[in-house]
Formats: sequence, structure tokens, C-alpha cells
Amino acid sequence: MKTMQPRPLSTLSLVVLHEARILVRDRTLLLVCCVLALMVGYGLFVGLAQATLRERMVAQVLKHERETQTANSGTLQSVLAGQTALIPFANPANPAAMAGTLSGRYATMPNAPLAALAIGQSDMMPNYYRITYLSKVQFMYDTEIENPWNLLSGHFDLAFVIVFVLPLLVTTLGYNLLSAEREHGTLRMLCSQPLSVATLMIGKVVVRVLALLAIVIPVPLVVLLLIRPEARSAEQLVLMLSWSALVAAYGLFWFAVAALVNTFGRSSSTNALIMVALWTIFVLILPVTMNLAVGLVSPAPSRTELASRTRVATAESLREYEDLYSADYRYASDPEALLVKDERIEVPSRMRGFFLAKQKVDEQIEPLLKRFDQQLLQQQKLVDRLSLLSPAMLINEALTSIAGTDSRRFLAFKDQTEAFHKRWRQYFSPRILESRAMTVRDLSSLPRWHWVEMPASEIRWSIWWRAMLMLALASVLGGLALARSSRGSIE
Amino acid sequence: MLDAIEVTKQFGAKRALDNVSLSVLPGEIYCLLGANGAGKTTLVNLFLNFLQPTSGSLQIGKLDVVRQPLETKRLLAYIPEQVTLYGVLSGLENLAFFSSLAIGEHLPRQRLLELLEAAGLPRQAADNRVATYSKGMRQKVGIAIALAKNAKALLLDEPTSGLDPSAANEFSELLVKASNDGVTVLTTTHDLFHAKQTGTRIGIMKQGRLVEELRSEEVSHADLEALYLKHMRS
Repeated sequence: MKTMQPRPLSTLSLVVLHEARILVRDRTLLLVCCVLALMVGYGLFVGLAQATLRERMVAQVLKHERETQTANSGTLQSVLAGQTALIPFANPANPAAMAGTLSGRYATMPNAPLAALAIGQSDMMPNYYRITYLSKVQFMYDTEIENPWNLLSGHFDLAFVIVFVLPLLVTTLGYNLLSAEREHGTLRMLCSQPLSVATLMIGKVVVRVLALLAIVIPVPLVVLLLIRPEARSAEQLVLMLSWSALVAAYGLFWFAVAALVNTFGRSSSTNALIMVALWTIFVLILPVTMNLAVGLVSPAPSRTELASRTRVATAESLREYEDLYSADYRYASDPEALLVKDERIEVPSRMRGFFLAKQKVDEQIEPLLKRFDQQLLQQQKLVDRLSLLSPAMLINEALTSIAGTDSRRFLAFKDQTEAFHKRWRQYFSPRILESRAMTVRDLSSLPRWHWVEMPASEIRWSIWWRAMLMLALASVLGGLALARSSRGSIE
Repeated sequence: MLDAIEVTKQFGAKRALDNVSLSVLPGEIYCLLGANGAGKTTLVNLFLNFLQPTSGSLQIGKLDVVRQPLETKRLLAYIPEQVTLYGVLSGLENLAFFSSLAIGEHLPRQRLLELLEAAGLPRQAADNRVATYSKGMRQKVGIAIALAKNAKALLLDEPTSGLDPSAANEFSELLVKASNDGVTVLTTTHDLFHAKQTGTRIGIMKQGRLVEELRSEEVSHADLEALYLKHMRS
């Protein structure tokens, strides 16, 4: 009697090929893959549309800024040459007008090259601010500060497809990994051969993982590489690699859960119920519970308190400088008073008062804003810690980090904007207080906004530890499933 | 070749096998008789390592079934009462897959067709989906899988229950031929006639115990029936 010794690898490859053939024949795989492909395509389209919209917005404000600068330069030259009639509050030679309504710079945050991969908070948080001498409370804190997890749901983007839909498709393909074989009776036939249940399970998972990941990973990356030249740099390719690792680890995690559920020997319908219950817990209930916990442990800063304090501070500041608001009407009858003489100009006292009042508001409100930022930072830290409890939260944070639509990048933008706002004020403050007229030369030396991207090493670390943790979770659950499958009976 | 040594299997409070010991030598056809629930299938499942014994041990070719499950399965082929195959695949494709698993190599189509023919499946049915097969046809594919494996031992759990008399007879002939080639056969059956005809030894089980063992040439059909009924009624 001849007895061949099948090698484990060849047994595994036999199972993989067989499983692929079965799934293709009964069309389950085809159906699931089509659904996934459609969702990935639509999710990516939504992400690309959002990214394009934001790019257009930034392009428009920058165009407006350039046009305003050109117009100001022309008007200033004309005013200095005495060719243009003087308008009290629209005189570019007046530093208070240039610091405020007449000019202003835009602080803009460009899209990260992989922005289309996740909308994240980009549709809630601004990617540009108009910087003037006004109080920063007026332009930076006029939107609701949100717990990052309040913003998790709501977009049908690629991150949504991965975090929410992918586990459901894994459930569709994996709830009956072993139970179907047991119920059809083929498990007895299979296990009477020199084939371990562990090898059988690995083979089944390999086919399903490859089928799903072959759609969800390469499709978005190829599309981005084709239509987004900025995504082709080495740094972005590394980010794409980490994105792929994250998605693969998340998919593996859910397959490991399915494999483990299958080792308890329950019926396919019970397995499906357990999987849906686990999905509900990990993807819906835990994030919502964590959201509530974050709100309780580290409550969001009070918008009402900020508004009231701002109102009080503004009233006090206006009162402090009220004597400066009275003398402006004389410019209507005496426009010559606004002429530039020896590079000096009379800054209307109302404008000076307004500038000082706004500066005062910021000084008074600064401690409260610091507390605001501190609370926001604490919330973020808490979210980071709590995200360890839910794979969905864990991966969502990492996906938005890669796309540059996470709260950290928006906070960095806010910090840089505040610093720029301060520089803008500092530039104009001596000119306004010392009544120094703006010159054409000054226009080219106005503070310029420059966005400094977050350090890539920081982003990489925050992504890779999450990917590694997810992979470790998947490995532990998978190992447990394999150990249980080799120990248990197949009856 | 097949050894059960003081095997007990407990399912909760129910003792399915109670200190059963038996040995089947190479070339023997050992027929296990007994009423439903006597423990025949449990013993087969234990040899296949589908279940693990509560106490005692089982060996195939001196290899422990629990400690070396894959090695022991390389030595045996199994045909259950209901051969369940993949309905979306043809008989030929099912045979190709299971034989590849069993022997670790792909058999050529011609060889697969020969095996199906040897098992009694009409050639024209080989490429039809198994979902369209009758129970007997599936049983024949199961026999072909066992033949492809060329195993040293055969474990059969009421293998002829789905076959017509002619096919059952052909199957018995196949068993005798295999045993003449040195293959060890352990089969469970309710069919006393079949046991007497093909078995070299017969064991009678009752309530998890092996209550009688005898050589088939030592008893007539009538004696075997009388002995069986005596045990069942006692």
C-alpha cells in the first residue's frame, strides 16, 4: 500500500483552491465582492469630492487675497500720489484699515495628499481663517468644539466603508466557516483525511481575506496614485503602506473573531447572531458609550461660558476706550486730515480704539481659551486611551491620521493660526499706535502665512502602533481559535 | 492494526462506551453489530479522532489516534452511512479534491474516472453536479475516495445502508478483495446477513459494551441471529 505524506503547505494550498472554487461556484464571493467594490468606489468618490471642494475653497480665498493685495497696492500708490480721493475707513495708508477690514491674510491648511481616504473632521472644522486685528474669539471659536467621537459617524466615505461595512461583509463570509461544513456533513469527510481543522480554517480564512483585501486595499490606492500626483512621494507611499497594514489587520481581526465564534460548535444562525451582536458592540455601542464617558470624565468646554465671557470682556474693553470713538465725523468735513505727511498718518481714533479694544478682549479671554484648549487636549488624550477598547475606534483614529483629517492636525492648524494672528497684531500695533503710514514697501513685508505640516514621524508612530496593536489582537484571537479547533471534537 | 484498549466514552451522565477493548488484525473484516445507541458509531468516531476517549486509548498501526491524529488518518479511509459531498462540484471534482487531500497529489482525470467506475458510478454521471446524485451515487463516490486513498485500514459506518442489493453485493466483494490485499476493515452494520457473509470476525455491542466476539466461520446465519436476539432481549 502506498501512502503519500502530504506536506502542510500543500494541504493548505489544496484547501485554499478548493474553497475558492466553492465560493465562486455558489456566487457568494462574487456578490460580496461586488457590494464591497461598489461601496469602496462610492466612498472614495465622496472622499475625493470633499477633498476637491476644500481645495477649491482654499484656492478661492487665496485668489481673493491676491486680488485684494493687488488692489490695495494700486490704491495705496494712488493715494500716496494724491490721485485718489480719501475715504476715511478704506485708506490703505492707514495701518488700522490694513490690519482689519481692508486687507487681512488667510491662514489656510492644505489637504493632506491622502485626504480622500477619510473625511474625518474635515467637513466640520475649517481649513482657512481670515486673519485681521479682530479678536480671535470672533473667527476661531465661532464653531462648536466637538468631542472627536461625535464626528465619527455621518459620512459615507472610505473610512466608513472600512470601519463599519467591512466587518459586516466579513461576517457574511465568515459566520459559517466551520458550522456550514458541520451542518452539511462535509466536515466529517474532510476530517477523516489527514487534514486538521486548524488548517481547514486557515485555508478558508485565507481565501476570504484575500478576496476582500484585493478590493478594499489596491482600488483606492491605485486611484489615488493615478489622479493625485502629490500622493506619489516616498513619504506618502509609506503612509499608503501603513494604511494597507491597518486595513489588513482590521479585516484579519474580524476574521479571527469569526473563526473563534465558529469553534464553539454552534449552528450557523447562532454564529451569525453572535457576529452581528459583536459588531454592534464593537462598532456602535462601545464608541457611543465611550463618547458619553469622554463627555462625563472630560466635558466639552462650555460654549455659553465662552460667549458670556467674551461679551463681558468686549463690553469692558469698549467702555475702556469709549472716549476714542467720538471724533471720527470730522473726517467727512476735513478729509485732508487723513493725508500722509512725512510717512505719518492720523489713524482715526475710533479705529485705534477698536484695535485696542479687540486686543484687550483677547488678553482677557486668553486664560479661558487656554482652559478650552486644555480641555480639548484632555479629551483627545482620553479618546486615545479609550480607543484601545474598540477596534473600530482604534482604526478610525489611525485612518483619519493618515488622511490628515484627524483632530490633531486641526488643532495644529488652530495653534499655528493663533501664532500668526499674534504676529499680525504685533506687526500693526506699533504702526497704529505711533500713527505710521503704510508704504508700498510695507505691503510686501506684511506677515506671511506658512502652514507647517505635522512631523511625519509623529503621524507614522501613531499609525503603526495602532496597526501593530490591531494585528496583535487579531493574532491572539486567531491563535485562540486555532488552539480551540485543534482541541475540540468535530461532532 | 486497529486497537481499542479499555476505551470508555462518557457524554455527561451517559456512558456511550464502557471499557471496550478490541483488536482488528491486518486482512480482517470486523463487523460490529448492535442496536441503535449501542456505541458502534461512537467507537468509529473515536478511531477517527472526531471524539476523544474519556479513558483508554485507540491505536491504528501502533500509532495513538489522539496524539498522532494526522498520521493515523493517513493510514485509514472512512465511509459513513451518509456520504456528504460538495453539491456544487461534480462527482469527479469531489473525488479529485478528497483524493488530493488524502494522498497529497493530484490524480489524472483518467485515473479518477477509473476509480469512480470501480466504485460503480456510471461514467456519464462523473461530470454531473453531486447535488443531482442519489444517496447511492454519493455513496459510490465515497467508495471511490476510499479506493483512491489506498489505505491500510477501512472504517465503515453502515456503508451499505443506501445501496441497492446489487450495489451492496458489489461493495461486499470490494471489501473482500481489499481484505485479501491485507487491508484491515472495521464496519458497523445492522445487516446480520452481510456481517456473516463478509466478516471474518463479528462483535456484538450492547449499551456501550462489547458483549460478544466470534469468528464468522464458527456460526451459521441462524445461530448468529439467535445469538444477536438473545443479547438484545437480555
